[in-house]
Amino acid sequence: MSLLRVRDLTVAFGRRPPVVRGISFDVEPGQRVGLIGESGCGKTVTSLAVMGLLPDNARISGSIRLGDVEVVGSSDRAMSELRGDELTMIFQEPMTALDPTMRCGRQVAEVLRLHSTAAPGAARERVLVMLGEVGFADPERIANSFPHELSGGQRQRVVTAMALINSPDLVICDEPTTALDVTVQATVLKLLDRVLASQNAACLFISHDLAVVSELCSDVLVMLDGEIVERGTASGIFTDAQHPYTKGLVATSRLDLVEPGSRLPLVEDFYAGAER
Amino acid sequence: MSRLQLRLGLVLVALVAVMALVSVFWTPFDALYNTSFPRLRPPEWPNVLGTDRLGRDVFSRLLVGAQSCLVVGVISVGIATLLGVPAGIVTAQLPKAASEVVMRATDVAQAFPALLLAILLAGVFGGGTVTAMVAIGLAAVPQFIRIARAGALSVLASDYVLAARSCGSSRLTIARTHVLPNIAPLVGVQASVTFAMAILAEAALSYLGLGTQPPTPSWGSMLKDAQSVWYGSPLQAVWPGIAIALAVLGFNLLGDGLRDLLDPKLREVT
Repeated sequence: MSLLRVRDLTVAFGRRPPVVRGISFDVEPGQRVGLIGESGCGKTVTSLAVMGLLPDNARISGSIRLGDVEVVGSSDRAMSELRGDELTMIFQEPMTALDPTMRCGRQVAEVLRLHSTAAPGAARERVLVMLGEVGFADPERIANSFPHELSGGQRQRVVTAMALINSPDLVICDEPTTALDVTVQATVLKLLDRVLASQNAACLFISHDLAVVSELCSDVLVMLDGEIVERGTASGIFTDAQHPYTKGLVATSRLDLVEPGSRLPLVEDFYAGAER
Repeated sequence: MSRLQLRLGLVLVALVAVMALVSVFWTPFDALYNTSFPRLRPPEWPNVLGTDRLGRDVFSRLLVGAQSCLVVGVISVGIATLLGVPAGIVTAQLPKAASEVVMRATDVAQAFPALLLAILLAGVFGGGTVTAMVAIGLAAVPQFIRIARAGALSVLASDYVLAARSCGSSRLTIARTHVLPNIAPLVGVQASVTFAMAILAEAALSYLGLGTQPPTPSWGSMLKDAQSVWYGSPLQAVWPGIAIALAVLGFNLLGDGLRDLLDPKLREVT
């Protein structure tokens, strides 16, 4: 049975036309699926829908099944039991995803405490181990730091620790590396790869960057204007893209193939509708 | 500038607090019943600020008056905070229509002056310190609802609340662990400004005879007593007047200083 099974998901806000239009996809246990598309194509809305975190004015139809639980129409209380335990999310902006008034260790411990009955001492121990797992050499110091004392990359690792401390089955990563510079981005991606593998967690990785997705994911969904226009394996998408938009994405991500001195390719060269 | 404000405010507030504390244990003379001095004596030893129309030591009464000023301030700000802040946070989480209804209701409540409310309550329950504290506290609740709601709305829209929800935090947990600490500075500033308002309102109520009842001294009732002897000994009105002005100034400066300190846009780079 699929871990996550999305069928005909349509999301609209207020009276406006839907931003996600009848998409369907599956995520198997342990599978890593990349969801790529440009800004505003409905990637984040899709992920929030899966989390059950859409604002009140969202109208959702279709079905999202997580294991044997139907997310659409589920109460907030029922969902909050699942969130943080079976599915979690890593957000785009590490600078704002941590509470400025709370020490990092406590924020991670809070997530642990919500879903287990560990004694405070044991929880602290578990937090320090988890901070070690996300690559901190001095977990004790990080746990005692406030978010403003850490760099962007460090914060993103704290956020990752928060998301993964309860060993979730599914982690939704919403452009977790977009706000980071390229070198830190590579470190965080390696770390994500390692931690996801060690916990055997499935991942829905959202990005606008095909190169980043292909590094981490086995399968790719290409989203455009609220619809999934192409799906396939990560390597298959690179070699045999069908949709013109996907061809554009592939071309723009392979800068090594561009002749020096020639113009860089644009998505619009392949797909006229991309620029709007 | 803001540091100077804050310091001056702190000094004045500390002065009032010290006066109140000292008067609990010691006053030069009995402030309530010692009428052994000549009446309406000008300032001369041992009555450094003179005596009132019953022959009581004005300095002693001024010290004791600081007590009622502080007690009324603390209790009424406490009432306003304890009622207003939770109400504001809850209102922020209500659906939009319900939230609007609550806010319009607070608008109506806010339009009703504290003094009128106090006179109303005094009419029903009789005047006194307790009535004054409750009335001043209740009158300040709408402001706290507004401040707390506005703060809570911005915190609730933040990424870290979304992150907390994605980790399974309930609304109550979020209100307690994220919203409350993040709006505490706002509430603190509002509290210190309301404190100044409460001191002024208490003085006004006591002046009208609806606040602290004789023989317990309060700065407002001392002003009222001074009114009847204004032509003969104008200094009688000056001392409690200065005390009220400095205390209110102190809490206002403290509030402004705190706000400047907490507002990153206004904060000077040090």
